[in-house]
Amino acid sequence: MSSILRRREIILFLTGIVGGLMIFEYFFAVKETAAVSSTIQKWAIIISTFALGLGIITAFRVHLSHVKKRTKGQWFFSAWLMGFFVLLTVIGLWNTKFVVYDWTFKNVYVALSTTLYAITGFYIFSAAYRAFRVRNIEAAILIVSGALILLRNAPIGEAIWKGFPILGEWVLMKGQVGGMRTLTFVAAVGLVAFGIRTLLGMERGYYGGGE
Amino acid sequence: MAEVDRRVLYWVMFIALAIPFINPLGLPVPITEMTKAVYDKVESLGPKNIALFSIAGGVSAWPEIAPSMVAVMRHLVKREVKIVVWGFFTDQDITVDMITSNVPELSTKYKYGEDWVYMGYLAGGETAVAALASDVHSVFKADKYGTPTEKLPLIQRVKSAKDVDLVLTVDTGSYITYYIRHWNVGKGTPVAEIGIAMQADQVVFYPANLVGLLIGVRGGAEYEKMIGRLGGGTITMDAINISHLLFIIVIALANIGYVMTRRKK
Amino acid sequence: MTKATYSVGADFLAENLEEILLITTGRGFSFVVLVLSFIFFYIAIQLAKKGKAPKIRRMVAMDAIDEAVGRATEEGKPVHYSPGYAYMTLSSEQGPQTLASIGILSYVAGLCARFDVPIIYNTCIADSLPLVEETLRTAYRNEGKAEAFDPKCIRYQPGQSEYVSAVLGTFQRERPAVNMMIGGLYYEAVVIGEAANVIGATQIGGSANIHQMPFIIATCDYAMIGEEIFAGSAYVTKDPLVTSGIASGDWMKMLLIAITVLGAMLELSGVNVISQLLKW
Repeated sequence: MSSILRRREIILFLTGIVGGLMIFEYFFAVKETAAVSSTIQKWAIIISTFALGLGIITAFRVHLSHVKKRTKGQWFFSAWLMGFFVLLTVIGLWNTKFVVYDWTFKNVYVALSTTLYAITGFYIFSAAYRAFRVRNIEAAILIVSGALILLRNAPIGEAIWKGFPILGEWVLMKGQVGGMRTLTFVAAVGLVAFGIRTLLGMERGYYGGGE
Repeated sequence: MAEVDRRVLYWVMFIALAIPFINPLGLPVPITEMTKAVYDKVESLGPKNIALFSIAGGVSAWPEIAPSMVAVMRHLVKREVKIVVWGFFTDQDITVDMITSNVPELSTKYKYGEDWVYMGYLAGGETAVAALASDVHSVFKADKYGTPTEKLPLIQRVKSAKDVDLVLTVDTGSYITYYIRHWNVGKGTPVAEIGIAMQADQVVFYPANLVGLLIGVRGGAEYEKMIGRLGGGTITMDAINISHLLFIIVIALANIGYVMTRRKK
Repeated sequence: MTKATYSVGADFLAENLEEILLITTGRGFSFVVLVLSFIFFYIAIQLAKKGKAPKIRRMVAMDAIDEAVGRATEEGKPVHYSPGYAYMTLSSEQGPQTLASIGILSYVAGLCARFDVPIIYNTCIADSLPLVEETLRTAYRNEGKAEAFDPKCIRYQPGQSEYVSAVLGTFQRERPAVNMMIGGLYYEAVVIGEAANVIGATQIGGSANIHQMPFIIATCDYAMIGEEIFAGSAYVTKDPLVTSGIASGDWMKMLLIAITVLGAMLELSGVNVISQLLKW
C-alpha cells in the first residue's frame, strides 16, 4: 500500500491540483474556490504542526541508536537528551507553571539561545577580517560602504564627524536599495520559473523522483 | 596584521565590549526617519484603534529586539490602543511574559479580553498569515488560555486584516514580507516592522509598503528616546559604538597589512 | 484610463473588467506575468525538443560539487549538507528554497552513494523530513546501494539555535571535508560558514535570502546567489528540456526589466500608463 501511495504520478497529480487551485484562488475572485483554498491552507497548518511530532520521532531514532550501540563520546549525551525530553514533557503536561520547569525554560533555554545568537557577532567579526580585503575596486567600494553604514548605525560615527551618518543614511536608503530590489526581483522571477517546473512535474529532485 | 589568529580577535572584541559596562560612553542617539515614522503612526492611534503585535522572533534575538518591543508596547499602552498579540515561535510565551513584566500597565490599566488579548502560538508560516488576513476566527477558536473567542470582546471586533489599524511585526526573518503581501498589498493594512539588524534589507519596501522599521538595537534606543523612557536599547548602544568602531579599525589594519604584504611580494 | 481617450465600449470594459474576468483587483498584471511565464516556458521546451535548446552559462558552484565530493572521498571524511532554517516550508519564499535544496541534495547524495562517502544531513525543518528521507533513499537506490543508506544520517533539531549548535558539534567531532549549506539560510549562514572554515572544509553555499548574501560570499568557497539555487537542481540534470526552463525565466526577466525602464521613463515624463497597468 505504501509503495502505491509513493508512486510519483500521485505526487505529481496532487502537486499539480493543489498548486493550480491555489494559483486560481489567488487571481480569481470566485467564492467557491476561496472556501476550498482556505480549507487547504488550514490542512497545511495542521500538517505542519504534526510534522513537529515527526521531527521528534526522527531525533529519537538517531539518539536511541547511539544509546543502544554505546557510541563512544556520544551515547551519554543522547541518553541525557532523551531523559530530559521525557522529564520536561511529563512536567509540561502536568503543569507548565511548575517552578523548576518554568525556571529551567526561562533561565537556561533563554540564556543558551541568546548565547548561540551572540556567537554570530564574533563569527561575523572573524569572517569579515578574513574576507574583506581590498583586492579590487569593487571590494574597496564594498568596504567603504560597509564602514559608512556602521558609522551611521553607531552614534559614535556622528561624534567623530557629522558627515558619516548623512553618508551612511544615503547608502542605506538610496545607494543599496536599487541593488537589493534587483536581487529580490530576480530571485522572485527565478522562483516563478522553479514553481512552473514543479507544477509541471519537471522538477523531480525534491521527492526522490530522479529516475 | 594581515593574519591574526581568530582567537586573538575574539578576545579583543570581548574585552572591548566589556569597557562600556565599566565606563559608559552615553553618546546621544539621533532619531532616524524610519523610526520616527513608526512613532508618528502609533501616536496617531487611540482607544478606538486596534494594533496587532505579531511575534515572529525567538528569545535568542532578545538582545536586539526586546528594547524595541518593550518601548513600542509602552507607547501603545500610553495611547490606550487595543492590542491583539499572536505569534509564530514556540518560545513566544517567554517573550510575552517578558513584555508583560516590563509593561505592567497591561495588567493594571488594561483589561484582558477587552483592551488586549494574547491568542497564542500558530504554526504555519505564510499560510497562517494569509489565512488570518481573510478570516481570523477560522484560525483562532480560543486564546492562549483556552477562552473561546466568543467570550473575548476585543477579538470579536477583529474578523480580518481590515479590522486592524496597524500591524507591528516583531521579525527575525521573513514574516514581514508575508504581512506585506497578504495584509498590506492584499487588504491595505498598514504594516511596521521591529527587526534585527539583519532586517535592514527590508528597507527596500519602505515607504511604499512599510510605515517604518525599527532596526536592531539602534531602533530600540531611538524609540526609547522618543517615548521618554530610556531602557535596554540605550544601554546597549555603548556596546554597539565600541563594536562598530573596533570592527572598522580591525578591517582597516587587516587591509593595511594585506597591502604591505602584497607590495613586499 | 481616461474617458476622453477611449470609446464607450472600452470604458465599460475597464470599469467592469473585474466582474467579467473575475480577476481580483490589483492582481491582474501579476496574472498576465504568470501566463507569459508559462508561454515562455512552452516556447523554451519546444525549442529544446527541436534541438535548439537555449544555452545557459556554467554555474561554477554546481560544477564544484563533483570536485568537493571527490575531495571528501580522498580524505575519507563525510560530506555535510544542510538546508538552513527556512522558517518551516509553509512560505512562498522559504518553501521553494527548501525544495530546491532537496533537489540539489538528490544529486549530492547520488555522488556520495557512488563514491561511498558518508553524508550527514542536519536540519530543523520538520515538514521536509519525509521528502529528504525519500530523496536520499532513492539516490542510494539509483546507485545500486540501497542497503548502504542509513536513515540516521538525517539529524533533526527542533529549532534554529539547537540546529546551529548541533552543526557546530558535528563539525568539531566528525570534521566533514565538505560543507554545503543551500536553502533558506538565516543567521546560521555566518556561524556554520565560519565554523566550517575553522576545520578547513570546502564550502558551497547558496540562498535566495538576500540578507545572507554577504555572509555566504564571505565564508563560502563557492556561492550561489539568489535564483541560482532554483536553477541548480535543473542544471545538474544536464537535460536540455529541463535547463531550457531556466532560460525562459531569463526571458521573463528581460521583459520585466524593459517594462520597468519604459515605465520609469514615462513616469518622468508625466505619463503614468505603466504604473496604472501595474496596479490593475
